[in-house]
Amino acid sequence: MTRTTRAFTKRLLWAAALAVVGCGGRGSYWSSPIASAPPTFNLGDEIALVDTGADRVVVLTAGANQSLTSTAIPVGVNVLNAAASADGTKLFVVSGGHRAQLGDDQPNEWPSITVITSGAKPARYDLTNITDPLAGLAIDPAGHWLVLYPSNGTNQPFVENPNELVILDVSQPPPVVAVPHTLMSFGGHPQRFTFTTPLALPGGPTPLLIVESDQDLSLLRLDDPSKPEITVPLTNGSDTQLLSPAGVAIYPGDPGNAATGASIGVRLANDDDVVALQFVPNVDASGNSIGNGFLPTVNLNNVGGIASDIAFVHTDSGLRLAALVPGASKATLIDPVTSLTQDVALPAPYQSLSVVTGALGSASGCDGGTTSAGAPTDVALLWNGTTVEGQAGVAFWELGQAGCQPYRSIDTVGVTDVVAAVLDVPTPNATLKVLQTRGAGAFYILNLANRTAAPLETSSSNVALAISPLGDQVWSYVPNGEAVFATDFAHELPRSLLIERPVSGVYEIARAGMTPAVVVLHDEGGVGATVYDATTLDDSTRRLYAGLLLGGAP
Amino acid sequence: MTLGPRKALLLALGLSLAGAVSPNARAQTIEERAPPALRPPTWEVSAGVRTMYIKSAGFDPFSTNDGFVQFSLSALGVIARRDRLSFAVGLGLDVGSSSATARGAPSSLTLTHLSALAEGRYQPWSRLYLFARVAPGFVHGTATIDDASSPSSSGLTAGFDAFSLDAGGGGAFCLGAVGTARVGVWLLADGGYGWVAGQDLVLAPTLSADQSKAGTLDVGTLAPRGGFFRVSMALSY
Repeated sequence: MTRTTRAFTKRLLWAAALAVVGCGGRGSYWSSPIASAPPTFNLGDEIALVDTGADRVVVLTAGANQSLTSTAIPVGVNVLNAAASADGTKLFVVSGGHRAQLGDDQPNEWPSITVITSGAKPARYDLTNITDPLAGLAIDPAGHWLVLYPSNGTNQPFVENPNELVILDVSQPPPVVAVPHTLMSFGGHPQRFTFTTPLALPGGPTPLLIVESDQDLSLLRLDDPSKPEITVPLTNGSDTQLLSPAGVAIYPGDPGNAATGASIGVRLANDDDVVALQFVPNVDASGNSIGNGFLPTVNLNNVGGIASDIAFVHTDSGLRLAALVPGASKATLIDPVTSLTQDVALPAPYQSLSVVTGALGSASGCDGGTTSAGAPTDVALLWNGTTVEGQAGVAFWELGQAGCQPYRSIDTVGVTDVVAAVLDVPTPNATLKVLQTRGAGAFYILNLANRTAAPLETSSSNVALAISPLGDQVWSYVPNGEAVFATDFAHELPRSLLIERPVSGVYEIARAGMTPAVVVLHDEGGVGATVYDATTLDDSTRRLYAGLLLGGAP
Repeated sequence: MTLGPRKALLLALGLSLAGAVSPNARAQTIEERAPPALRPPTWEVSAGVRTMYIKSAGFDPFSTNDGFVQFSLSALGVIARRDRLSFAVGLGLDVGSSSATARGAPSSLTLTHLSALAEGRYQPWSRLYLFARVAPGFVHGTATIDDASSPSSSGLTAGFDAFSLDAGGGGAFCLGAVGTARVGVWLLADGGYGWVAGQDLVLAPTLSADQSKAGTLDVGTLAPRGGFFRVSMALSY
């Protein structure tokens, strides 16, 4: 062979080998990253993992023999936020969309909200009347409304109005036009959103959106968001200090009884007052409705300290707004109509209050009292009563005088750890609560009926808890550890799972026609899972999965 | 006279070789007197690079483009010849792998392709012949994704076997001869289409005795087929 021939041959072979460089490409999916700790939601009979890198939600369902099936549901591009409804049956995913530049291969896409409901076709609402995405998401517990608002996250517009809201009625199938609404600003920034059930207001039952800013309160009619909201500036009248709301309590009133209208209680973060709002008609001389048709009346009630929690309770004296004042180790009962107050001394500086009357039902003979008007009286659970161990951190507060407890008695429970959260247990064990402690190496199963608290001690103080949707057991695990235990409520007997990879979450989900499965997720790489039968916890039938976010390529 | 099995085998082999070379015995004699070394190739072995364009979406986890490069070996022998036409049969072996990252997880795909070759040749000039080739065969593939969530250190793997059929054509140009052995050096270029049945890639960790506990990962259907071209060097005799 000549030198020229050899050179030609060599080049030809190299060309053959290198020709692949410029040929074709692969879908962007396989080059998209998998976010660490993808947001995960238990939707009852399926688990939803939000795969932000691939603009999709991967839904996991469990079948026979602990099989796990994944289904990818595409959502709008540029996922900004995701949250589940209060009942856990719906997942809402907010996407910022994409604005296609000149020559952009990626098509233009509006900001959108995708609603994923277990067992139903996903619904996608395109927000065609906004250009810049809003990442904040507030969800109506009743599943009727969504509110988008500006947040401080990434991908937010250069200029944003913190009082800008976008309200969407998700009870209707798409397309639905979102309603933009800008709150009248007195300088405040919205902090919290509370959706009410229809309240007994002078104009009739009306659902409200209560927006707490850092210095005032706004009331917006959800049934007609185009109407201007009512802003309630919060001052104590004695100085110019702006008062910051720290939480609200709502009494919806009795639509059938004009005498028992709705009330809203507001506790303040920087003042000893608790605000009680009641409502009066706003009509002209001819009786025609003006504005929203109602106006709030504001009553300031000094409770002698900053209230840490408030709730409307039924006492044998009638409806009261109960405020916990841990600084004075007391509770104050406020008559929302007369603003008369009555203090009740507490044995500990309880900071949190949960009304448990509904959970008790008729389980205990110690509740079920009635007011003088015949309305049932409440039992409240007081907790978070101490920041140090060795004190009574939980108590029952009787607000009626019938039954086996004296009027307004306080009955402490022998939980001496710092209680950080009270977890509800579904039926059939609704009379149980699980008390999560803070740094104590224990959790408790509190029985509301007999007022006992069974301690479950853990070798780690960093314990996460998840309640079985069937209400038959509680799952406990150490995040990023390899210990997972199930403790059944019937026998309070802990049983362990054999887990060999770090745990990021434990989710018990229903299976059609079978006992439920428990899916233990492992946040490594493409996300793995260990699946057990949640009833038998049989190691021999568990199955181990890997790369759950790798499958289902578009 | 009776022959033992070994002698019978040697005899058969000798007859076979004699039959194979006898048609050319006279030509060899002539060429010894007046070489040119070039002559129509009878035996040919080649080695080269085969590049296949796989458009299947199932290939995406294992490559950032559609090209799949294999090392290609083949051996052919002419079993019939008339004038400028000849017919050869042989075996081909293509071995290659591709690697990439699948959403951050190292991934690889290895394909081993063994095929029977049936080739028709037309040689208009002593230094050039054109050919058309059909190659039914067999493909063995191994796909691996080494995801960190795998319960085993070997990652997630899947293997498959499938029938294949290649059809194509090309040309060969003789670059010269090696010494006086009348061994021709040829440059071959061919192309065509390689078909392989689509395979569902269901990967699973290797858990040995606990394999029943292994959940699977379906990454889609891989159809490792498409157009290909190959450039190779061959030695002929």
